[in-house]
Amino acid sequence: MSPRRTNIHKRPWYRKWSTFRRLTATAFLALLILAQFSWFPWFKGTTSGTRILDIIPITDPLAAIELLVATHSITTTAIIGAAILILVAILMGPIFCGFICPLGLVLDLNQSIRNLFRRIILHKTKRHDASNTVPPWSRYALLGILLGFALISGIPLFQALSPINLLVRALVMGSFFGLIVVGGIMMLEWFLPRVWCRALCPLGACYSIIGRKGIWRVRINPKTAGQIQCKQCQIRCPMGIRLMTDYTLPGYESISHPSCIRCGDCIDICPNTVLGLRFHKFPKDINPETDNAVHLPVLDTEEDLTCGTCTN
Amino acid sequence: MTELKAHDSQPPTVPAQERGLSRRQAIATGAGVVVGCGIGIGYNAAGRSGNGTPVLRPPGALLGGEFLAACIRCGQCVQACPYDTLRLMDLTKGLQAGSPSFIAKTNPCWLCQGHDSLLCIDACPTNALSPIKDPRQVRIGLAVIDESICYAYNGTMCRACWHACPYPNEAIVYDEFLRPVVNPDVCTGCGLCEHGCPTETVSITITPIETVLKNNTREPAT
Repeated sequence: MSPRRTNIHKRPWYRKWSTFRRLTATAFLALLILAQFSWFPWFKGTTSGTRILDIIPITDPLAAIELLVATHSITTTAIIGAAILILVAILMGPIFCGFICPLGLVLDLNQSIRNLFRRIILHKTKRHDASNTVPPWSRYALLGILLGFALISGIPLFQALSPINLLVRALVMGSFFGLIVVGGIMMLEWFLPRVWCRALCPLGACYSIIGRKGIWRVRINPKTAGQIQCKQCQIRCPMGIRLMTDYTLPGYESISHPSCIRCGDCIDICPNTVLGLRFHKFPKDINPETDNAVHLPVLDTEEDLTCGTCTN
Repeated sequence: MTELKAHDSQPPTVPAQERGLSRRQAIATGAGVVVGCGIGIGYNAAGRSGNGTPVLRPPGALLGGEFLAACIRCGQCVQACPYDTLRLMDLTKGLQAGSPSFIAKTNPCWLCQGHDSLLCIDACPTNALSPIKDPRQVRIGLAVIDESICYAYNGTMCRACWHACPYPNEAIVYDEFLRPVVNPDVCTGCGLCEHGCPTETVSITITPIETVLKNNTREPAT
């Protein structure tokens, strides 16, 4: 009897979360671009400030904080707009990074192209993960630098020069010089995968601080955790979280790392439905005698596997 | 390899990857604030060079550094403009990047003629464009006539700027020789006169209000 093996084939043929996440980010970008046309007046602005349906203001929390620090005052519109996003982030963590951020979308696709290139052209199946050498706290240092600079000089530096805004302004407003910076980051990420999101993005750091207790997070199913040990989740994780060795195997209930951007790549790749993005814990009614007695193959590998390798 | 198994025992309270992480993040943020303040002091000492030369801002814009501080570069004023006047400045303008401006010769500010209010001001979420209801109170800049090339000052009949002006006989008046004279108390600096000027090199140009005020404080009007 192998009840767990049925789980292996339960996954849909497409990558559920990464498809959904790319769709939402594309939809957001498409709405911003459509707003250029006069027949679509319901979604104005760029990532730092948006107005939906002419009434609902949305303000990037970091923009609101920089505004407060730089001018020592803040408007009601900015407070309401930032409060909406901050509430969502408190509840669901840095969901902006995974599901909305247009730069995240571009860098994600850039990374897919890079990995395909390495796999098909260079025949390198081992994932070269050099950005682990970049300290993950450096983006917090950058966030501090931005706030300190805004406090003294009164200039919201990140709103002027952030690659996220530069990308959106290039696509929405047609100021194309910013694409040089975006292109530079894309090239850099061929050598240091996802280095912008992991180690440089101050907005991500801001969302990580706000959303560190978010309850919508990647949770671990104790019934299936640690059975295959294929390490695919932690090889795929764009934020460099060691999901298997540090979370799944020691028996934690969820991924509590503040860097987790809820992208769902770990869930999509997991061959044993160990992980899930959800509000509540997985039920813990396991019987250690029977549940952990199922011996699936243990794959201790750094190789970039495709689904089914473990069972063949 | 020793086979690891989940849930053999209670996990430690903090996952291995997060040990000391909050402390390191707090230290990094704090150190960053200190460094950022240092950079800010250096920037102020260097005369705020990134603020750039004054440009024509949308109606109601705060002055200079105040505007750059309050503007979050969202571009909603640009999208709200019914005459497609405003443009966001690009990366070559340094720290001004993403802030709105316009060039009066190619497309001036039409002061939302035919609309109830100034739409860019309505769109601004941060009061970087201070709420002005009456277009007459707008002070974008001041029209300055170059008398050496202006047709009217050189013997040719020309009323182009007077015709273009939204407040003719108030902002632009004629002197006894039917030459245009700008009244600085009424001129909004919208740039319609510059837009309409027929001379090859434009003979009536808008000086940004920031420059006007700076010059006034240096040499008080006699």
